[in-house]
Amino acid sequence: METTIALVGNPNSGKTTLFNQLTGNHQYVGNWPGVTVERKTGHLKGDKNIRFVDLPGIYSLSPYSSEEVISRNYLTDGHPDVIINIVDASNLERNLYLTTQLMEFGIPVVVALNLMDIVKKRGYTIKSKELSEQLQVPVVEISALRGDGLEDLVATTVKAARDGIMPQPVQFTSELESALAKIEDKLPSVMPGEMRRYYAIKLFERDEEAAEELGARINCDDIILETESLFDDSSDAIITNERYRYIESFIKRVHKRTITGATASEKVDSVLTNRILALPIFVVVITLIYYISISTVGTYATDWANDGVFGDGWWLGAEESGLWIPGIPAIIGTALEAVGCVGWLYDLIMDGIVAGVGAVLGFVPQIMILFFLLALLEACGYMARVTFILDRLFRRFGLSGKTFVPMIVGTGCGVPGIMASRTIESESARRLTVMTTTFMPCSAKLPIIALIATAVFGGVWWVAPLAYFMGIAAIIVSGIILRKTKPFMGKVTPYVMELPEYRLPRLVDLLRSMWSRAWAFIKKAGTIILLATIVVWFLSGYGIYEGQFMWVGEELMDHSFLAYFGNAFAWVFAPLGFGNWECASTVVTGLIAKENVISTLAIVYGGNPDVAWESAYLASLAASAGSVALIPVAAFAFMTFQLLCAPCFAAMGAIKGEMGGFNKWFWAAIGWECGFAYVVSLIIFQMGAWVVTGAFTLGTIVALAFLAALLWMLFRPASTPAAPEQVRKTVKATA
Amino acid sequence: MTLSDVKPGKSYTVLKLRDSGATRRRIMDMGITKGARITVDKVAPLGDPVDLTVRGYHLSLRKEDLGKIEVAAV
Repeated sequence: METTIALVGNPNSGKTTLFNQLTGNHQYVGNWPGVTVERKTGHLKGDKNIRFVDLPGIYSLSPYSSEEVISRNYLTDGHPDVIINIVDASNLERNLYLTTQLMEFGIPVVVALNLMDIVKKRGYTIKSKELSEQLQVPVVEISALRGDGLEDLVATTVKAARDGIMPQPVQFTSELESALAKIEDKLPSVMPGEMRRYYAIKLFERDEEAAEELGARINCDDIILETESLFDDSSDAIITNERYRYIESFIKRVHKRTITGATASEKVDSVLTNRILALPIFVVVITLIYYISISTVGTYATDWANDGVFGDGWWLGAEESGLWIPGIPAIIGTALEAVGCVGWLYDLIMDGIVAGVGAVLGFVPQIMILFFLLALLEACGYMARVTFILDRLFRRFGLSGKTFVPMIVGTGCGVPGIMASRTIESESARRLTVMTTTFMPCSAKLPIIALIATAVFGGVWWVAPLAYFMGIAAIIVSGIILRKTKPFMGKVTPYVMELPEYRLPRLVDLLRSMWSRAWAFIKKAGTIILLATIVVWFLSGYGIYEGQFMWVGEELMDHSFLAYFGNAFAWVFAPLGFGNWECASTVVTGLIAKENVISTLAIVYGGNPDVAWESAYLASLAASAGSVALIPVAAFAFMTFQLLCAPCFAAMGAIKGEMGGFNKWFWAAIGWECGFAYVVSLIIFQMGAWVVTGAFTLGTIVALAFLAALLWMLFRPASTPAAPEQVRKTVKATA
Repeated sequence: MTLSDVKPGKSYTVLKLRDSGATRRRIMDMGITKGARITVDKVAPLGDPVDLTVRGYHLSLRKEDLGKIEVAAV
């Protein structure tokens, strides 16, 4: 018989770690609330009959966020056999609040007291036996991180499911109990006994979500109003107070603190969130992350990968005297020649696949270092502090500090970044976040930044951090402008944020997180990018010359199909300084995957074996921009456009999912991203050209006009008064 | 007196929560209920939000929402 176990707990209680330990899965773990936004399922390692469902972390079962709605719908309709309520033992009092709610579903509950090791280290004692007697449910001490107590937990849980002993819901004060009893009497008689209390409480709390589920309108206003006047409080406050009063009634007996004074975590926080030091530290941390991963360590690694592994080769040991290891292209080339490969296939493999896919794979070391540092930032708990530090800033733009979490996640990949927007409560702020998250350069755009930083600016340190701060600026500017338009007007986004304890992450978890994301990148290079490079190679290698379909090769590449295609709209990018067919076609191949921007450039500029494709790229920029002096300006405009314009199809799919289909919100998002990218890049190129050459042209006038329009939209007063914010009611769970 | 008037480093008891709606419910869910003890720890660098200790953990809220929480000094 299969047993289905629902994992429920507060955000950041170690639920995902527990799920990974139990199932042998490698879900992604972070130390900030809201990592799990959808439910995931997995089987117990070595036992297919035990199935776990990992629900999003929630503080309560109120209907105010999509995570809460996903979780409660699963508990009422999914019929799990038993609930494991994972409780952060170092934060017992608030975690038990959810426990009191879970005991009302008529499903057996087992409490897993997690982080017992931290509790002991901090000098607390928790009497789990007394807690179990108090709650009348089994309580098991575990450490999900170290895997302690998990066998006991599984055995206890399976037994609880088999015995089917329902927990006894918390008893409230008698006046409240009599009101709830009256509501229970009004519920449909077909409703099973164990669900009646849950719905009675929800109706008492005026929970519209639950009222809708019941179908028939049940009027209990009289009972509620009478009880509210008796308690002199609103009905939902009465219930919340009663739950916490119940917990207070025994918490001192089961939980003792033997050491007083600031915890280690609080001491760290006195520096990291210090009024004066917090902002400078934040800037240094972010700069360091991108500086290390892109400009220094990452560059050494990538240079080795690009020039060595995917280049000519490298010396093992001392230069000239050590062992010469040939690069992959050389090895493949020799092998192909040895088997007598036909010419066109040799070209396809060498100039198409090896050049294109190799140009992308060369960035794997940089991406791995970036992912490692991001995993460290997330796992230690600093990310929650960043929302605390930046909330004031983001709120001015109608967003909340929580917007920063999708942004940082988005620097790894835009898809989870867009999905992380679900932790934002206000609908308009959430839409705004979905629209702007991909302004942050994701790992696939990183090769573009690296190309510009090294090939154009000689590897100066500031290009990479600048690209990221530019992404932040784009989000803020978009936020201000759009917040003043009618569809995005609304009350300020709420900010209620737990600041979790700092934790020292385990190296193995960081490496696992790094590897799983880097592997996804490598897999993409081997599939979709491989396919795209083959198509691009054919389109750039073949064409029509003097009325004949033929192999055009390097000399006649301007007559290739790709050239015809790119030339059809290259003029659009002329005001941006890169109006040539090569660059124009990367805008389109980049939509399939942003890595294609670099792989396409490597193919279309890689025809001449005597010239590095990067140099050929710069030469063509000089031609399209008008002079050699304008290369850096045009290259910077090219990078800006590629970073800000519509994301890849996968991320567009995520936008569609969050906006609820191919509706006006979806098209508004894509339109805004492309339009904003175009305008900003045009301003950069034209103003840059004006500064560099001193020539005031028609383009300068257009750029000044755009700049004036942007500034006006930024600083104009919001015309109509803010409409009352709609509380997000129903969210369709994608799981 | 509401929590927005108070000084860091002091402890207070919650008397009542004003206003209604989703944010209020979320604040209550997080443990700020009638009778709860709150310590104001610090203010963020830009003057908002505020870091509090309630029920043994750290929670941050904006001053605007703190203004809805009526408290008495302990």
